[in-house]
Amino acid sequence: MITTSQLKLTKRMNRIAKIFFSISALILSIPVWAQQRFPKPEFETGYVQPSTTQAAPRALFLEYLDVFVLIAALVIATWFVVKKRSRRGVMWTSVFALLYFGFFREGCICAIGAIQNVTLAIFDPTYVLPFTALAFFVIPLVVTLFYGRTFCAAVCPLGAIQDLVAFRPIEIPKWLQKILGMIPYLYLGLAILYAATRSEFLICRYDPFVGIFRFDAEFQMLLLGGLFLLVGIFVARPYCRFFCPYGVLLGWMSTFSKKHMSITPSNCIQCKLCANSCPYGVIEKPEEEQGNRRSNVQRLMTYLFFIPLWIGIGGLAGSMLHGPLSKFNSKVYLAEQLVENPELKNDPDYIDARAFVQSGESMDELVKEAREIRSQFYWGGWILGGFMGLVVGLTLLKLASHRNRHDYEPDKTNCLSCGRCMDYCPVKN
Amino acid sequence: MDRKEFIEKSLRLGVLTGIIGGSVFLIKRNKIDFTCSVDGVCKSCSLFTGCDLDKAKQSRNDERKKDSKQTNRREFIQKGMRLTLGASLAGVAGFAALKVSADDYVWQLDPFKCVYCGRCADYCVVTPSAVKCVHAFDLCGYCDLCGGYLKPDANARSTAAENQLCPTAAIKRKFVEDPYFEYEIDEELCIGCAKCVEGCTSFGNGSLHLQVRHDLCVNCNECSIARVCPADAFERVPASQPYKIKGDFTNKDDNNKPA
Amino acid sequence: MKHRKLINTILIVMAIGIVIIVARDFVVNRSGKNIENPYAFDVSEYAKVDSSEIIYQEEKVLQLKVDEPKGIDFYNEAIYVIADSSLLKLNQQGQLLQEIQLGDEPTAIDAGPQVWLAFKNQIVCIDENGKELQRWPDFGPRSVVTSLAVSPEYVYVADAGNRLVYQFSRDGKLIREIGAKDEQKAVPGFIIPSPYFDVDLNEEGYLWAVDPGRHSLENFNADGSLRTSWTISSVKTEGFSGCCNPAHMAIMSEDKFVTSEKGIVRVKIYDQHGEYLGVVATANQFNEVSHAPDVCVSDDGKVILLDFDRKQVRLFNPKESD
Repeated sequence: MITTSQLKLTKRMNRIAKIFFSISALILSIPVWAQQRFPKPEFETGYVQPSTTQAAPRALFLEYLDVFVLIAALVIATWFVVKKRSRRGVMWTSVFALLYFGFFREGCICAIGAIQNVTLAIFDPTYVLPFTALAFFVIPLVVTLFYGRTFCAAVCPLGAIQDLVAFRPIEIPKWLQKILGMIPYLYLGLAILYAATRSEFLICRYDPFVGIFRFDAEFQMLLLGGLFLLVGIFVARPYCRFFCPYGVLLGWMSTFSKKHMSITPSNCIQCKLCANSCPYGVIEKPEEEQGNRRSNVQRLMTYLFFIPLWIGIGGLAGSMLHGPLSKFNSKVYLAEQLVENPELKNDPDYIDARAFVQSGESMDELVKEAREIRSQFYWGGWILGGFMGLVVGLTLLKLASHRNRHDYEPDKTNCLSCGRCMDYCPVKN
Repeated sequence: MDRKEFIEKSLRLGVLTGIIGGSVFLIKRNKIDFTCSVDGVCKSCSLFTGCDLDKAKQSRNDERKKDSKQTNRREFIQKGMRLTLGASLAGVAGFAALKVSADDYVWQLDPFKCVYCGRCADYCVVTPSAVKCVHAFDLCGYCDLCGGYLKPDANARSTAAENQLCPTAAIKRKFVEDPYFEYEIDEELCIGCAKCVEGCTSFGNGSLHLQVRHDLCVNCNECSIARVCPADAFERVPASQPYKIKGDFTNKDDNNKPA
Repeated sequence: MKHRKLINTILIVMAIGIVIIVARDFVVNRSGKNIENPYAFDVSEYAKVDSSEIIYQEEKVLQLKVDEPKGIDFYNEAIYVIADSSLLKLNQQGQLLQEIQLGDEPTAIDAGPQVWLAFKNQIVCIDENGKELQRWPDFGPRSVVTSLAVSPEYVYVADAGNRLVYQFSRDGKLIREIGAKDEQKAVPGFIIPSPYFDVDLNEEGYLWAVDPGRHSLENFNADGSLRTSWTISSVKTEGFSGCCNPAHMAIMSEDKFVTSEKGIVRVKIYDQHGEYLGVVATANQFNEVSHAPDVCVSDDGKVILLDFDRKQVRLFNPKESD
């Protein structure tokens, strides 16, 4: 936890940095003033004009401090989950993360949003990626690759706030879980598509909890956050399980993680005490293969065969939707409006059209830009649709396939490593 | 809760307690025998007598050795996938890292592109807006008839509120010497509506303009004002040069370049 | 769990609520959608001009192929335009008669038998072929020359930076500074907030200078004392508004004044006493965001404008109706 004396110190250093910055900016800009401006009137009474204040933004070392706190929190969370196996430790770490990353830093920048920054860095040649954004994207993924989703357990502020309100978790039927579980893939794909076409940061726009963290948001955002929390009382962590796009990436890393959290410290004795302990319903029970091997394998092959079909259908649907999807880009929207109703250019109330006319850009240039963006959406739509088709196909495949299991184990992809089940296991090493 | 419900509840509770207590008592007393089948996997836990935990573990370890070939293959696939994922993550990160800068980026608006649409006042996530009017004193003409301070149809060149353009009276007018007046902005009152900016730029020298104030701005990943700005005036700038104040910053649209 | 059905129903309702909020926002709040300005500062009513007051009509538009036009003057059936770093001489049909490279960026011009040019703070005189006849020493860094007026005896230089008009003899000797604040000579001193400061000579050769901060035009004797002045400061069509208007001025036959204003961009005619006569060009004949055009008059009464934003020379004729 950050102490008040540490906060005071950072505040003082902030102020010193601000003073230093404004003085140096003033000094550095004086010669520039003398040359370029039309001369001011000469004042006879010795009047000294005030200077234009330039308050400095947050000091850079504090941004790097955030990265350091992220790494520290991840290390502590992982230690609590994998080594110490303490649910309490995980919970208190998540409370700290909620306070620091959530309420103190007001939920921005977060690892979920960093996906868009990295996408923009890859697709937009004019964008410069701040190192802190890249760090927030990569570091949790690397840790997850080795130790499972400890980031979700105790470091993500959005996860923490939902985890703390999950008083009465209920079980959701498996089929519903699978269907809703496809939404994060769609959200991830759309977010990448919109970030790559420079239209919008979708994840930031529909982040339900940032309004609560800032104590300041328009009514719609607060309502969304409130609804998520209310649902979260019964359906534990709804955003994490059914919306979070970063969770998709973390899930991939976690599936093949080296040392994932395990329910039992050594061997499972099938006592079933942990079976109903998971509020997220991701503990998998021991199962034996049903039916004969041959027909099972045949069924598997059929589903596998259908996957290219799903990809094709999905890609086609995605490309056909490229029109409505691209309308969300402001240039495309403006171009469409002005082409359909050219008289809008003279409408004195339509500020965007007036600004366009004043900027001196010609209609041809605008239409050309809009066409380019549209075609980006077209190819993006193919890829997004194909990706969703692949997701649907693989989900069906997973439902149809079967793996012999002897023990009670967490589903490595979806387990959030919260550690509640560890307390239920009677095995003590 | 009325009496009927209360009686129902306590009856239910009582029966439940009785059943559980009775079962435990009976089990403990009679030591119910649950034997484990040595051929298969043990399906009970050591709460009950007749189960030999060690025997169960042993039988399961024997079963495990049978599956060891499968397990080794599985481990190999896991290792391979882990390597692939790690490599692709490194690839993506490396590709993005080509564009990395150590500096942080903040939002700022280009005053020469601004069209005074008034959205800065309403669309900032912070209330009141983090965008405020600043005065580049070097460009000011110190006029008595200030285009950004007075309404065009003002009945007098005075500080009367009815003559002021600013809806929150955030500009302070001070007499300097004849015929010059100083205009300073009280940032706590300014809401960033750009009325004075429009007045100053059309009727005056254009020394009043809007800027994002970084002591108030929370530096969102995507600025909500930038999204709705009709002139695309918002840009990300390095945090080491976070302001575009007219005078230090100029471009070809600047009227005040010498002649 | 008790009340499971009720909880299920509530959850479904809340989930639908979430979907509706997200979908509605996605569809309705597009970026680029028009949002009205609740703080709009509307000056269109001040820019409206009754059509009966418009006494000129646009006759011809000559498109210039330059980057930055700087000034315009008229002499001997030819239009002289300074732009970028050259001097263009055009006839009234728009044909380029001559182009002279000047080597530096000019800021003001006075065309006569010789062409006098100002380069921010230095005065140069060239003949009609571009040969340099005189080059005066520069006036210092504070000086910004915005206008020249040349009579047979004197060269008047309007220096906006120093807020003065210099009276030179034709061979470069400084005779006096006009316009400095002087209570004994009843000269109030020029108020010049921005680099717009125009001078011209009337038919008798007296100097008229614009005092843009006071919205007035001032007339000076050859000895620098104030002869007369007139001022109209109002937002109505007949007045001058804003901080520095009129931005440009020219004197035509019968000592009438043609003035060009910034802010609400328009060109008007006043008679020799300062009485408003009418409008040459209204605000809607210019771009929405526009600089005040530079003005000059031809010998046959045409008003010639240099439109900086559209990069055009625009010729206006008086309407035949009167």
